[in-house]
Formats: sequence, structure tokens, C-alpha cells
Amino acid sequence: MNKHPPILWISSAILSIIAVAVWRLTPPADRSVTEPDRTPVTGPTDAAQRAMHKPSEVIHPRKRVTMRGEIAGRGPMLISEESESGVITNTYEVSPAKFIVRVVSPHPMDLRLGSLDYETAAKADFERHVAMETNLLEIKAILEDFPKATDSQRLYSGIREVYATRARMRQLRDERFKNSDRVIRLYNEGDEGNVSLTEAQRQKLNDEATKLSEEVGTMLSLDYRDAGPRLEQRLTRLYGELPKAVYQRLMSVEIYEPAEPLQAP
Amino acid sequence: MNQRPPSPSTQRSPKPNPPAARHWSLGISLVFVALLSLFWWIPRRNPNPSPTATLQQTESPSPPPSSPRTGETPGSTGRLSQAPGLEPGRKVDDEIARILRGDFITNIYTLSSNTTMVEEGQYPPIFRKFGTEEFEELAKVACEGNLKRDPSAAEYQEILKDHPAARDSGRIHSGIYLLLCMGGNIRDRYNVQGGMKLAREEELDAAMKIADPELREKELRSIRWFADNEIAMDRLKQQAQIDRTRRLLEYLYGDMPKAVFQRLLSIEPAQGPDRIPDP
Repeated sequence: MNKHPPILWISSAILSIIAVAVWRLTPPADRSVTEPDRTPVTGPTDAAQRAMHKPSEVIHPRKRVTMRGEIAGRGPMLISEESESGVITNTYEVSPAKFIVRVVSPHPMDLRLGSLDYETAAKADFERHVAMETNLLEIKAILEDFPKATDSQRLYSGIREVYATRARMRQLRDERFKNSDRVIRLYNEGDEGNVSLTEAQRQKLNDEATKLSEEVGTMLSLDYRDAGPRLEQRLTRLYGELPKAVYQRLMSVEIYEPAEPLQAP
Repeated sequence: MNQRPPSPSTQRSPKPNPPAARHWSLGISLVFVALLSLFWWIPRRNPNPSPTATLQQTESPSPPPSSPRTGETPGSTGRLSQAPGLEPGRKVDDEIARILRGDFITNIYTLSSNTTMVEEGQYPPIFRKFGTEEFEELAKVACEGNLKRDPSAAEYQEILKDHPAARDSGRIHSGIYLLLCMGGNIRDRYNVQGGMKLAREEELDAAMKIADPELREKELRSIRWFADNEIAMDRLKQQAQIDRTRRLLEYLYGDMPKAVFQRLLSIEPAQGPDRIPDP
């Protein structure tokens, strides 16, 4: 006993080293976060249903107000409200005296966001288009950096949402450009220099141009501005939260071709 | 009461350890301390970093969809050279060095083996001062209006302030100026591409009136091919501009992580900055 240090002392030292090593080299208690979620994909509570009960969503989870100008209460405005059944009511205030209400029935698959059906369809859609629309990989990479998305088992649903939104935004931008071009052509056609027109014809052309510019142009601009916040809302519903930085990164991805409606699996 | 004499101590005084045992104990203790220190210094694994932290550190593994520079050009990024301006030791690629010297830059865009376009251009002479205190002051004045009126410009500022290299550089306004210029350029490109799409539709409508079906089909194919190439080429130019902006920001701040740049790229400013007058 006296010739060697006590066995107890050595054992304690070794145990301490092992304890420290384990503590430093393994993740903390919530290790399950990094591991793949092994809960069944199907089940009574899907991601959307879980997200429905997030307290952060209590305030108007399905209503958005979009303004064309920066000052509230001034200039054109869009109030978009989604009912429980999924019907979207868009109220456009194109001028102080003119309101246009448009009721949109969503595609049936849109209402299934958060379900396994949607996820399966979204994955198939991704695989069908990724060869042509390579930026889908960029969307996937960004969402893979966001733990809530990877852990949700609804990664492809999120990709599909971003893909459809960015494609729609490009389409709206093109339509806006086309509309502006039509307005310019109509004004040019109704120009006073065009002597072949009667005053009534000229007035008709100018009225049409004004209508296109004020109504159609304004609605297209408002729809464009509303597309991003709508995406943000749907992804928040899907994942429970969406950090601003992740949303901004997703909004930088360019999609070049229109997205086809999602096909039910 | 009899006082009992103190009983002799039952504990024997410890014998001093022999020198060999003392050395052995000392060795074990040193090994123990060394191992403990080693494990202590290993950074603890964090399985769930905050999204912001991840954004700062990670680079997406996926490559960009298309590279604007497909050929070796005088402005290609392959070689590094010394740039004038910010830090004497900072290395930049040839194209950025040429911009900072006020030289012409050349880009060759290749869509396929038989579709190539060469573009040559020059940045405004004021960019010779890019990265200097003087440029920063001028950029601050030029962006003042945007920062007051346009929330997008303020958003640029916020994102740059989130990035330590930018925040500590003292060159935030130079970055905002550059980004506002890029935003304006992207908007112009969208309009150009919109015009191209419109022209394609009109040409296709006109071609549909050709009576001969074979000739009509040939004409339609030809219009689509030319228009698609034209649009694809313009997208390459747009991507080249974006890529150049990122490298100028890298020069300005020392680094520009992809995640930060993506955030900046998502901003759509309402209008460009007031132009900085050339010296």
C-alpha cells in the first residue's frame, strides 16, 4: 500500500478525466435536436397541426396588410384574409374612393400544407424540377441550415413553398412590366398628335390606359409585395417560427420558370 | 477524581513515502492535470446553434447555378494581385484590382460552344478611391437620402451591422452605396429581360400568321431559340454583376459570407443612390 499511490486516488482521477472528456466531447442534454427525427412521418399530429397551437401565431396568423407606399393609411393598400376553409379574400384599395375585392379559391393541395401528402407531393415535385431549376438546391441548402425545418420532417414542403412563391414573384414582375408597356402604348396611341382619332376615341384610349395603370398596375404591385409576407406566414405555420435572416436568404433565390400546381400523390 | 493519564496515541505517525513513490505520485498528478486541461480546452460541441450563428459561419455546399465567367479573361478571378486602397496587404483578384485602378474589365459569356459574347466596361473613376475614407464620406452623403426615405437602404445598413467585419470596418456607407447601385442594376436587368420576353411574344404572334405550316414551325423555333439565348445571356450578365459586387464587398470588409450576402441580395431598394461625382 505504501509503495504505490492509493488505488482509490488513481481510480478517482481516471473517472474524473473520463467524466470531463465525456462532458466536453458529447453534445449537451438536448442531443436529440441534432439527431434525425425518428418520429413517424404519419400520425395524428402533423407539422401544421402542431404549429397551429404556437402562441406566437395567435395574432392574425392568416391576415396581412400590404401597402404600396411606406406611410400607413396613405396610398394603395391590400388586405388579405384567409378563412379557415382556405378561401382568400383580397381587398385592394387602389384609390381612396375605389376598392376591389377578389376572392381566390386556393388549389386543393395548398390547403394540405403540413400534411404528409403535401410533403410527398413536394418531394416528387422537387425531384422532377431540380435538374432544370437548379436553384432549388440553393433553397434546400438554406432550409437545411435551419434546424426547425430539418427536424420537422417537412423540408420539401418548405422548399415547395419558396419555389412557388419566387416563381410567382417573377411572373408578377413580368406581368407588371407587360402592363406598363401596354399603358405606354395606349397613351401613345391616344396622343393628340394622332389626328386620325376622334376626341371620343382618344378619351377611350386614355381612360383604358389610366385604368390599366391605376387598377391593374396597382394590384400587381400589391400582389408582388404581399407574396413575401405570405410565404413568411406559411413557413411560420409550417415550422413554428422563421427567423428573419433565414427568410431573407430564401428571398434571394431566383426561380426562372413558372411553378406547376402541386400534384396530389 | 483521578485523572487518567493520557493514553498513548493509537495513531502511528505516517512513514514518509520513499522517493520512488513520491515521483510516481507526482507523475500521475501531472498526467491527470494535463488530461484534464486537454479536455477542458476542447470546444464543447453545440448541436443546436442559433440560426444567426449558423448563418454567419456556414457556406452552402451547392454551387452557383451558372458561372458568368466561363473563359479566361483579363478580368478573370484566377489570379491574385495587389490592390491599391484599403490595406496594403490585402489580396484581391485581377478583376477587382482593375476596377480599383480604373482599368477596363472584360467578361466573356459563353452559353454553348457557338454562343459567346464579350463585354467590356469600366467602373466610374471614383471607384479608384473605393475603400478609402474619402469614398466613405462621399458614399455617406450619397446614401443619406435613401437611408431617410427608403426602408430597404436601412435594411442594408442593419444587415451589414450584423456582420462584425463590416461593422468594425468603418466603411458601412461604402457597402450600402455599392448595394444600392447593384439593386438599381438588377432592376434594370429585370426590365431588359421583361422587354425581351415581350418582344418574343410579339414576334411569335407575328410568326403564327405564316400560312405555310413548315415555314411557320421553323420560324417559331428560330424565334424561341434566339430569344431564349438572349434572355439567358442577360441573366449571366446580371449574375456577373452580383458576383462582382460580392467580391468588392469582400475587398471592403475582408470577408463576405454567402449567408450575409444572400440576405443583402433579397433587398429590393426603391431607387439607386445619388451618384458620387467623379474626381
